[in-house]
Amino acid sequence: MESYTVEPSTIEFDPMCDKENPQRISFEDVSAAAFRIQSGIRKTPCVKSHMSAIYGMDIYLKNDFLQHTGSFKERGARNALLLLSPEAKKCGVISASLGNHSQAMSYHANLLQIPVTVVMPNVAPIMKIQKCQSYGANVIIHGNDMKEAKYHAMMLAKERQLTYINGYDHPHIMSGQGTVGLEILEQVPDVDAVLVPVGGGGLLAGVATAIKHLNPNVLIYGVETEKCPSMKVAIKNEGPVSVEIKSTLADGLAVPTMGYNAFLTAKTIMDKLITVNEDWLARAILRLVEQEKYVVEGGGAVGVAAIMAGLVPELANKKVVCILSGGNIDTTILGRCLERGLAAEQRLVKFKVTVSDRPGGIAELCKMIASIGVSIKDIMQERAWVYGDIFSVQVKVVCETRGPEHKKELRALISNLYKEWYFAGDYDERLRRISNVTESDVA
Amino acid sequence: MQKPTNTVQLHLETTPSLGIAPGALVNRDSAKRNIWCPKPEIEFDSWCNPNNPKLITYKEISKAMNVLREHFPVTPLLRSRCCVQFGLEVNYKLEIFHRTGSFNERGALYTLLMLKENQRKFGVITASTGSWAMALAYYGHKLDIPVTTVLPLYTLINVVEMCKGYGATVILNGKSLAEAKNQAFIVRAESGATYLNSYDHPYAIAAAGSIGVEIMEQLPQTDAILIPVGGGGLLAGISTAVKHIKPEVLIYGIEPEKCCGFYKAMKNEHPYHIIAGRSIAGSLAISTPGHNAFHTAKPSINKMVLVNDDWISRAVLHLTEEERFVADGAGATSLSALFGLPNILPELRGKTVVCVISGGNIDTDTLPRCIERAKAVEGRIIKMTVTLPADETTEQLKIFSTIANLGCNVRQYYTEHAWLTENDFYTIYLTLTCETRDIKHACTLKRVMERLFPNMCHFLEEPFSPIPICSCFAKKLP
Repeated sequence: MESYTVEPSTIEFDPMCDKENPQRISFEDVSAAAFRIQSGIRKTPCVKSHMSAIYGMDIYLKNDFLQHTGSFKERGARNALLLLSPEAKKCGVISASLGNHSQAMSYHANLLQIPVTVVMPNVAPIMKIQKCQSYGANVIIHGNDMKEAKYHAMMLAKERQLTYINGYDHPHIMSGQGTVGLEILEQVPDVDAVLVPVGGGGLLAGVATAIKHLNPNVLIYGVETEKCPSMKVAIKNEGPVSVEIKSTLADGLAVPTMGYNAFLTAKTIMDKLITVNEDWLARAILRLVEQEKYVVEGGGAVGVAAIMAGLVPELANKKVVCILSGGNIDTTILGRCLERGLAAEQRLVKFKVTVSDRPGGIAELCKMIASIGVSIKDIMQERAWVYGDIFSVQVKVVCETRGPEHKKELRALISNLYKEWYFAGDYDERLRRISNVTESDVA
Repeated sequence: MQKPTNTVQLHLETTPSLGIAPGALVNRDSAKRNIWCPKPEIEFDSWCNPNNPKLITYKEISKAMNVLREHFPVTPLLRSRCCVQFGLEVNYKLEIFHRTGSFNERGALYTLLMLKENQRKFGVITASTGSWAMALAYYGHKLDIPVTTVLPLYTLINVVEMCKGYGATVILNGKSLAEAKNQAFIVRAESGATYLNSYDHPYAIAAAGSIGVEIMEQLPQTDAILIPVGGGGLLAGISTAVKHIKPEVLIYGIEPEKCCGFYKAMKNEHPYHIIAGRSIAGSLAISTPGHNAFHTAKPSINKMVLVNDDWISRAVLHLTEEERFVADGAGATSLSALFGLPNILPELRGKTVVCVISGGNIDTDTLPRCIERAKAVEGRIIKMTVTLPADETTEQLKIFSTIANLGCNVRQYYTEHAWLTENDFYTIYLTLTCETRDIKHACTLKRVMERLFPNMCHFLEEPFSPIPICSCFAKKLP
């Protein structure tokens, strides 16, 4: 799709997000935004987490998933909508987004009585389309992926005189997102570090601008996932470059090219960029569900994932705020995340073992497993692929244990009693490494 | 075991099946037999005496409130994002953010703080399914009081680990809560610890009442409060507190129909022993409601509502999907009554209602299953079986592509050959589980499939012909 950038086509040109002319936002933009949006946005709590004791630092969670549409994008959307000129408000706005940005725009445009159109590719999940429609937006399905949808949206913008609003790079959007930083400083005045999820970079740019102006000693860390390292690549190439995105748990962060304005604003004032493995994301979601009782989407849990993966040892005994940016996770995916998280923590163990097919063979196996306190979740038998012995059956068992030591106990038990056995995840352990290695097939 | 202070006590412990001599009974009214349960009482708890029920007053509740204020911040009361969907102003009082995840922490802390010095030395013992045990273990650890918890055998692993992690002695015994409780009393007889009943101890009820006071402070315009009921402690506390502050507020107790002990008690004017079924709201499976709780709550309750497990699953799904909170079955019971609208509770339309979400300790294995069950009930997951001639791969392809074109997602499928009718060697059954958007979409899918593959499809009927809810499900009390 590089052909789109070869000729400076007028359709793709968004005056607010121009590659040749990136804009930087200032603190005044953010504080003005805070005042402007305060009537329509919930001031979300920033609560101390129960996990602080485990990780040796004071962890605070900024619960921005409690906004009405479930993500922090509402702040930027409302700010941008309120800053439109009266003619633009009458004509309406348009946006191309798969997720939180379109919902936020639909909700607030409806409240402010501005006509809103959203363009989504045909791979969009039905729930998201329905949600936007229920907020009163005009949803158009076009294109096979986000690039085509975006092109179509910009075309419609030129045709119908609508204002195109980019979900992470528009300066008004970034200023709105920055209000999170202002609230954090109000609620936790002596914060030492803030972990900000990075997708297109809008939140990072806004929060960094806000906080660094008021208190330059606070460390701002951007956190992104391994499967979509748009900012890392942008830093390496001194400018945003398109990255091939693979399917990721953090779909809210899956943006191929980082925002130009965001990159310019954030690159000088950000302290460190951390890249997190997807396994830790699943574990972070699990931890947030179990301990804090919050349902957070992949993109929102990256900060907690970074802490859990041990990627910020220098923050021990400091006050750290993680921004939980959104909660819009599909419940099926939530179920799978919980299972993945349990498997990654070795509390869900899968193994295969060959037992005798005579009566009592499997009963014996179950009795042995139960005797050490392991709970069996699922058990399947397979007869056809057992080599050599007609009277044996291969049994696949999925069971729940207390933790890695308990798993070792189980493994010792099985290895002592049976000749043929195989624990899934044996070879994975060697490959599990803390990030900073690009493009791997670990997950 | 051999420390007889008086011979009658020893008699009680060594030969339980013979009962107490009538002469001794006359002298000790405190150990009368429970007429519903003819075994003699080893389970004598002076705090929860059936013959001497303690009524909790507002004074005790405000005392508990003052003590707890120093330790707990006020828990959030949030307005729901889906008020339009329900047709009333729904608010949630969230008790899920405590360290051990349930409102039991209030009762645990208050009770432990109010123990006398000699009681602290001997420690406390309790039987519980989970939340209460964890709360006691946590505060016992903080206040340096030895805690013993007796848990039934089916308790979840992480509950056991958490109790052990806080230094409590954990005993796993009993197939049900009642058996665990019995074992707890046997252990207590030896160790001299104090038995703490989670739903009936007067201090626990008073501490639960502080939730009611907070609700009235945070939302003075409340019209009705929905409260999950198991043993009745939460109901008793909140109803006493609220009726004292503002008697016009309606108090509804919501109970799972599988373990409706409190409802039966209200009908019979006396705590009634039932066999509690296994419900998704595990913590509410109490066979006999508390005596103190029952007598305290009786004059204050406006209505008892029975809900079935499917609604509870739907409530858990709703909280996870729409509000982004994790509540367990017991905690979501209060919201589940609203899923029976408009057939039950029509008088709540347009009113301001507070649902008390009492806890969030749901197992990470149960949560996905609960979500799936709820989706099946709502028609978002449907199951169908198609009869196909064997080896016709084009038919299978047609089926899958039809489903895909309708926008449905196939979650699981398997084929079966063996259990067929006679002489029918060449047919296979293809069973599919599909995900749809909602019940209307499911009906569309059903119509299309039956049109395209006539007489070959069989749909699991449950979402398409749900059992109608009768309005007598909610029982009004005189």
